Amino acid sequence: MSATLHVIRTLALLEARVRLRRLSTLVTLLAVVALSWMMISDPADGLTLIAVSGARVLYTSSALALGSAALATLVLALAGFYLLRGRVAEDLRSGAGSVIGASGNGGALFVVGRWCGGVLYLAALTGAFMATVLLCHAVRGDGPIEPLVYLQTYVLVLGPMILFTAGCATLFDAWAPLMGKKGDVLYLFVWVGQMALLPVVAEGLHPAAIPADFTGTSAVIAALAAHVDVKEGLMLGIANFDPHKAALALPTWVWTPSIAGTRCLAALLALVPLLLALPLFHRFSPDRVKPGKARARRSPLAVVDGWLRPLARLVEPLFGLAARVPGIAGQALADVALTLTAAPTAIALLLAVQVPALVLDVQALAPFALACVAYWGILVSDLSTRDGDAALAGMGAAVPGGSTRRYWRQFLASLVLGLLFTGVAILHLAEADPVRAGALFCGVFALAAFASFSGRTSGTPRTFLALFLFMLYVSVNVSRGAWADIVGFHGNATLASSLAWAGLGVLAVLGGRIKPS
Amino acid sequence: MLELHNVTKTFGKHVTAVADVSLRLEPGVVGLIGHNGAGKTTLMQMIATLTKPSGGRILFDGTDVVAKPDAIRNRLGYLPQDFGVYRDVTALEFMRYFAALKGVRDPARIRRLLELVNLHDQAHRMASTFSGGMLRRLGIAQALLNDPDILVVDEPTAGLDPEERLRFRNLLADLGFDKLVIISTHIVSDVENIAGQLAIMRSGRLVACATPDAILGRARGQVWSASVAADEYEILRTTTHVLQALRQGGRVNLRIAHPTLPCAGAQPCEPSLEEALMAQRYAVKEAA
Repeated sequence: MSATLHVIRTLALLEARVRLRRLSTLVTLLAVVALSWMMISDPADGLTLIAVSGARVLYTSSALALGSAALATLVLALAGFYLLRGRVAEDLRSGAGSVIGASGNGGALFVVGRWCGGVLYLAALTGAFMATVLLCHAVRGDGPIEPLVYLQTYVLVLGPMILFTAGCATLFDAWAPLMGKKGDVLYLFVWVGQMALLPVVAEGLHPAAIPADFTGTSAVIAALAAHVDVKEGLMLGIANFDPHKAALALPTWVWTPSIAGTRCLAALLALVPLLLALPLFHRFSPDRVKPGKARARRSPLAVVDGWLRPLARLVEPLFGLAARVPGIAGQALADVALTLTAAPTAIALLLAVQVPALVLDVQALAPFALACVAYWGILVSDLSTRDGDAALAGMGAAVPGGSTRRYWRQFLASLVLGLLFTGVAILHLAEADPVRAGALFCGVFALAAFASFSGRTSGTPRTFLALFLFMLYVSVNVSRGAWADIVGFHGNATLASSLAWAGLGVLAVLGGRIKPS
Repeated sequence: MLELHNVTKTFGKHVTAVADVSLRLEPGVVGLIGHNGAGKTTLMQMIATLTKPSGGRILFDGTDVVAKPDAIRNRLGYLPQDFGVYRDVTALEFMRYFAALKGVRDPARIRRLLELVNLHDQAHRMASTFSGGMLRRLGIAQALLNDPDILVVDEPTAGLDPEERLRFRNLLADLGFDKLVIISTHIVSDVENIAGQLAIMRSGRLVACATPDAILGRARGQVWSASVAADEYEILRTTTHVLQALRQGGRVNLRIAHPTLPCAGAQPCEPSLEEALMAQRYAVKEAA
């Protein structure tokens, strides 16, 4: 028995680790965190997380826990499945599948191990999410932070969802007919079905359906209804409220025994997909699953890049031009050409953004330029690490200029690409609002420098990507202060703040050179 | 053409990857032979200017390449042992990128090189979908883009099937007619028929640098063949260096490296290059 538990523990920890290392985990976590902070609005802006009949529900631990859990469960129930999905396809591609199939361990052990890993992974994501909500509570909360209140609500709301989502991901990977796109689409319907339960339960038509709502949103509504009259109008997430109405306060412990009981029942029902997966597991039998059918994981952007592949021909002449331009300028041009060739979507967007950048008015130009910066940042996040990632560090360092010049040319290429995306907007803004134009230019320069610096020092594009997305989020959501307005989105940036960002950029790009090759 | 004077590379205080290597190399194929960890790759990386020596000098046509690395980079082709390709880039685009980095302006050269390595039909295919052999050939085409005078090739046949190995060896032999081709390998058969000079490395040191004939000549009289009974074989295993043992019926046919007659009935035989190198290695070991 202990040996069995040891195997399951090893499998589960491995699964969780493999998934936690993926970039998609970071992006999802950041997205969920961004969403939660957006939903837990600042009441000073006239918005709140939960409003009942126009009255604001105070940001106590119980209210924030209920509201944030209800929102997170919807996102994680969908994203969680797709994050967990596809490990069997990886096993098939790597050849590990046949080793697993030929091993002495039973199929049930493997399926349970995978499921436990999925549960562990989603629990870790939930834990990270809860930590950020606690932080938000510290900033915007109305009462003391009560971790146990959060824990209780998260376990009751998100627990069954995690068990169900991990169960579905395991079942859809274990049963051969659901391994492909069919399974992906089917799960979307399962998720939509869960959403459809919400109004049914909220209107009190079928309370018996609550245990079948694994996401727990109906249970949240039921829990709220036990303490406040929600029939008059309940709003959850970025809700308007009447500041003249007295604020409502939820009790510390909002869960009644009956609702908690239905959540426990939901947790039991959530195990059904896992139980189905046990007898249906294909055990990597070549009769049931073929390695050739296991396609590599491709992001939606990579799929679009595939469709737009013919556009890569447009940048072919750039390579020839780069060969003719001597020194670092020519090599930087080659890096620009390679970046665009590998991501034809960028070519399409480059073509698409120039005219709007010329004709939009200044107010509309700010969010437009920000969107351009957002795409560009993602595009160049791996520019300074791609040689290492592709095992081409040595080959690329043996060309004229060596590794020292590579650092500078890749920084220049990032900057040039940034200016290709925002250059017209900068020129347009320069006419009407030179300070804003300067902020955009300095912001792009600084971000290009940070991309090179972090790529050089950390050796992974994820560091920059995480910081970049966070900075972008901050610059959008912090509407006051010049320093936070990195690319002039709000029009708060000043000459001093722009020059400071540019100065930080200079320090960063020079700092990256300190690290020896 | 290329001179190495007392080249040393140390990592930290205690690890010496290359110790006091001196070599003088002229156009032709040079095989750099040694076991894993002998220091071959580090030496190649220093010649390719990827890393600087901790001591000594590397001169290319009289110019110190440590002080002026671009003097050799412009005339260097380098194929590392392990390399990959960028995602979502075709073979042709990969070549175009490196051509641009090296300042190669003739687009026809890319096509010619892809033809040379027999990849012209696959030029528009994503390089990431290439087999190991195709990837090696693309790598060598990349290394030849700037028509280099020195070609540094690290473990070129690792992971290739026999047909690919043969094709690769012939290609490198052809290139060695007018260029200096340095091939690092621990597989002796990769270089025994194409290298005009062999540099043998052991534990970071250059232990020999000679033609294959000279190395074979030194080993003559030290490699023996014999047919012995199974129980005699068990004794010989402990007293001599058995290079090969093939059981046939109740007897075992042996090839043995030994400075003197290893057993009654043993006959001196013509050593292969690999056997010659092993015999030399055992002799050095025993002398130590």
